[in-house]
Amino acid sequence: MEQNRMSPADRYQLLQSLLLRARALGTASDVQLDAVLEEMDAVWSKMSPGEQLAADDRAATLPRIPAPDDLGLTEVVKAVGDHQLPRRVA
Amino acid sequence: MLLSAQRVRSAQGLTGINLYVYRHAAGEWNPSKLEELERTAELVSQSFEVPPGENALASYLDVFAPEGTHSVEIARAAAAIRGCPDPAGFPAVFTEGGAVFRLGLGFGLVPSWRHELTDLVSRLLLSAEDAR
Repeated sequence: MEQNRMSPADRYQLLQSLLLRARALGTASDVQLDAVLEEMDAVWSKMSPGEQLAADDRAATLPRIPAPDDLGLTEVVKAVGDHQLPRRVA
Repeated sequence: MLLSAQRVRSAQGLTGINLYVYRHAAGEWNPSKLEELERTAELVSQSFEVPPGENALASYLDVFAPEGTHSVEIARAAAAIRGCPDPAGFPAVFTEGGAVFRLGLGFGLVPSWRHELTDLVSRLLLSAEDAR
């Protein structure tokens, strides 16, 4: 499997990205999110100190409060023939 | 033409991708003036996974391309964009293969922007084919 060929650092970065995405889209249950966090902990212990430091630096640049409506835009109803995009600032 | 995909979430918690296909009159294609292209585009079809209106947007993708651009060309352009370095910010505008892509994301989707681009453009291409 591809994940078995990944380095622990690459696997950690992938899990971090998946976690943020799942939180943002609300597509994962708390149990699923906990499972990802547990795997991240396990992968963390296999990373070198340098890789852990790099992961910490990367984490510092990531958003802290991902939420589904972070974009600040709302969809609006449009009819065929209209000339505006179907969104506005919330 | 202008193809627009929006990943939305309703107040009831439903999530999905809603799609909008716009057309331009002949001779209206100028990729350096996106605002003008927005204003002159006419909505010709739409399809919904979530009933439209007052849904919060998690992401959106607008693809501007000359009328008649084939889906294969848009798919190739999207593949090339996935190979680009991370943009400095969002919404990000990419020009590739004669088309212009504008991708807007909520913060939580930024690390997986290539994944989101793939999801949205795939749905758009299906919709554009149906609209032909």
